[in-house]
Amino acid sequence: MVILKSSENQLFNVDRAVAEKSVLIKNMLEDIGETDEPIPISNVSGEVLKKVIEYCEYHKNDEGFSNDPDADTDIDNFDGAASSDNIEPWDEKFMDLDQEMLFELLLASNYLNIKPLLELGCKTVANMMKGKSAEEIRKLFNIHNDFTPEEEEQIRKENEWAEDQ
Amino acid sequence: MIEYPEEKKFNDLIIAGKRCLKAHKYNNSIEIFTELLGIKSSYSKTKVYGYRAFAFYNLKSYDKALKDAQKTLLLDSKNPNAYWLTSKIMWELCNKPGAISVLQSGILNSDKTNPNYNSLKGLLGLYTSEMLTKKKKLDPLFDIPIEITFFILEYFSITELISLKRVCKSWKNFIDSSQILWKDVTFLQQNTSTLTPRTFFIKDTLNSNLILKDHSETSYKMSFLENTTTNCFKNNCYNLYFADNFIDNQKFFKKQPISEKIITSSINNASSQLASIIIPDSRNLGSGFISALTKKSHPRLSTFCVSRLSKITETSKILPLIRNFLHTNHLTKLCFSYNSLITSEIVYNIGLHCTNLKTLDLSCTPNVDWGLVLTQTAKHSNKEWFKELQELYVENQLHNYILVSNNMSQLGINFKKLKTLSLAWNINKYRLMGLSTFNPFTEAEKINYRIFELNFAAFPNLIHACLDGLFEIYTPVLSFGLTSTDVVNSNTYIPNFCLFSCASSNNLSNNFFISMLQHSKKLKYLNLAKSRNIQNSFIESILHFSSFLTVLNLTECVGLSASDLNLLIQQCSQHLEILELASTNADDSTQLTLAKFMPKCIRKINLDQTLSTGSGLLAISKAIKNMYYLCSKCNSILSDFENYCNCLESIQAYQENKIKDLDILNLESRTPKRKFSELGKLKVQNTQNINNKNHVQSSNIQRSNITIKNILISVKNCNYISLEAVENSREQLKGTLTKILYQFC
Repeated sequence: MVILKSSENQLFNVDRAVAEKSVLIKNMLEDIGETDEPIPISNVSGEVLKKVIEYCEYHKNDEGFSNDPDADTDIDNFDGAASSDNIEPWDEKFMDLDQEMLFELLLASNYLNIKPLLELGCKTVANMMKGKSAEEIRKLFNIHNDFTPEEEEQIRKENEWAEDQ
Repeated sequence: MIEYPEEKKFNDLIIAGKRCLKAHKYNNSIEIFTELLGIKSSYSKTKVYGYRAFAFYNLKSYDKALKDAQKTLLLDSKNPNAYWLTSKIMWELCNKPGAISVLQSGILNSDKTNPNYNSLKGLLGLYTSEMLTKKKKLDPLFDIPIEITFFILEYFSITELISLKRVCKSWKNFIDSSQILWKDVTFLQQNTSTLTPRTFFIKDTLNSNLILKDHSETSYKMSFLENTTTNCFKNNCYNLYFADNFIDNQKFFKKQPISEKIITSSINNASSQLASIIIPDSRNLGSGFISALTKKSHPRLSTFCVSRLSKITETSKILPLIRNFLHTNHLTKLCFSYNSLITSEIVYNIGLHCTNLKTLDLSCTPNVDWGLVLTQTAKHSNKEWFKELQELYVENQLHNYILVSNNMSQLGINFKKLKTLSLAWNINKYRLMGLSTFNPFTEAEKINYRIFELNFAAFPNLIHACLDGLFEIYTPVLSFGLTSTDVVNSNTYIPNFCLFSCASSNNLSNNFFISMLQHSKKLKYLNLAKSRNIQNSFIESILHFSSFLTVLNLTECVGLSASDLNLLIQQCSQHLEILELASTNADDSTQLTLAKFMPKCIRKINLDQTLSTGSGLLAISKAIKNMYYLCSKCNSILSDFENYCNCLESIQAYQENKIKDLDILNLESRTPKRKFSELGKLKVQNTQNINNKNHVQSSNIQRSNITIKNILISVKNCNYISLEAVENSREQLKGTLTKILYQFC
């Protein structure tokens, strides 16, 4: 068992195998050996850490759960983007979060180096933005439109070639 | 029909329009007011714009409303109603910071006797509290680290990326400038090198560095390898310098540190004349080393730099050594970096007793709590405490930011002579620390400084500051939800910086940088790499202190457009030596501007990952050619800068060419050799060309006067360099020391 400590000193007991889904913790444990000391994850709040652990618990037996950068790369489609619509139902439900939590989860998975979770988070954010108009995206993320109508027209013209496709 | 006198018609229309407004017939009132504005009249139309803005506002045509409201503001800047309305409209347009700043300027500028003046304050209170309580919405391009942003954008096709450019200016700039998105999806793996610590750069630049290298004032310099015999310096050894184990960023652990036996026998042989000990990697040293040192007294010992002393694990073992130092008071330089044995109490006592100490490096000493040290000092209010200290390095340290917080000034502690302060934070911290025997994670946060206000009041003479990564997303400071508006307020003391480095601070706002630097009229070195929130208003303020700028690093500052950069180059390129514009919006026009305003002393221009065609590049190489002749005539100017801002890459290039006698950059005291191939990963299709170029270059160097520096332009990842440009520039550059690196994708 490994004890993880959140930024507000909340403690979590997890299986070593589950904790090692995080490459950061895995390296750490290799460096320092066995320890009974709680490992402070001082950048991550308890609420977020709980989510991270929930994810790692669910996926602990996954075959393809690997942090190997060369593994499981999606086959690119014709114009070079990776595919974002292959999310498992459990994962999709898991990711049904408010924006702040979603972003916190992204930061935590990047910091803890849990590639599948980071990927899932990025896919989720990408899906939030896909197929939406600029105006809808602005609303979604509360972004102020600072283009003048002339500039908007200019961009539209510049990009005409892409929209024909 | 009797014609109205103009005055009456004007007044009647106003009354009619206002009546419609009251009756909520906004369309009608707009018609009336538009008619009114068409009348040629000497009467003030200020109010009419205001009324029409109000009508538009109620119809939710906010764009039109804003135009009118801003006109009213322009015509009558004392009218609180105009501020009130403008702010309301901006709020509706989601420009919340704008809305608040309009209110703030309204409170400052408008007529205080107006009955509506107080409603400004009320609205401001409402908006500010709403800003705070509202559930945070986040910008997926700017509120997360850049590597995650790229990861997200990988899921978008080119077509989709282009449509994202329409969201707002900063998104457009970001996507336009991120060349990597357009052709390369394996960015993450390639980019890991950008995560290396930046502090080494600043140290090289300052040259004041690290004790580890600086021993130039001593005449007896001796470095030796492990297999060197130690007898030869029986009598004359003043300095022990174990240079061969210099820590090369993260690679230090691959090298074999020097053995304890060698070191102890040299210490024993050195007799009481020992003046300095510098051992960058002391992992093999244990209690034998300590006892060798404490056996004899070393009254001349002034420099003691021992880093990574990890074999000794108990504080009690190191205490005799510390006691020794505390009793002599000869120490001027002390470095105990990467050491878990140093405690807050030891630091406090060193400050108390080693009053001649000028340089102190306590980077990564996890058991030192600067909060405790400072509280203790304040309690005893000892004026002698670190009174001579000029340089302080507290890097890779939890809570080092208390040193530049308001807490310092509240405690009343002053480092009167301190000139250089580095609090850089290295995001690879856990890797560096993980190697030694202690567990950094047991050093959890003891004190929560939830409110952190930046203040340099404790350092009245500070001129060099390195805050790289301190405001990075993973540093503890930011995990408390610090926003940049909290960082600087009007009471904050900001020194007059000569060197300011604040890389990887993409959570700080444009305004933060402006207020940080407005006092620094003699700024020479500015490094704001990866600060994505910098916008064009920063350029305006940079122009105020631009006249002495020699190094400017704006890598990944994607908030600046090409025209911003061009303006910057025009205005402040006079003394520039190093200009880093990698991954920015710089394009051909920037290159042409550069060519036109080519700084006289330029040594390095970096345009990696920027848009470029051949013409700009050709212009640059032409301009540099002319400059070469100019430079050769003004060697004196160049030599003034010799000790300043050494360009690492050019050193490496020299080393590769095996020109050992070229001493212009003090090669001896530099880091170990690096392979030429590491230098920008040179990839030119025809390897023959590389060889030729090297050959030409080295023969040139031998022919020329050694005081001329080489000029390096690296143009990695260019999309379209025309063949003509390549050939021409090579032709142009013959006979100069200029070197251009091309990398094609």
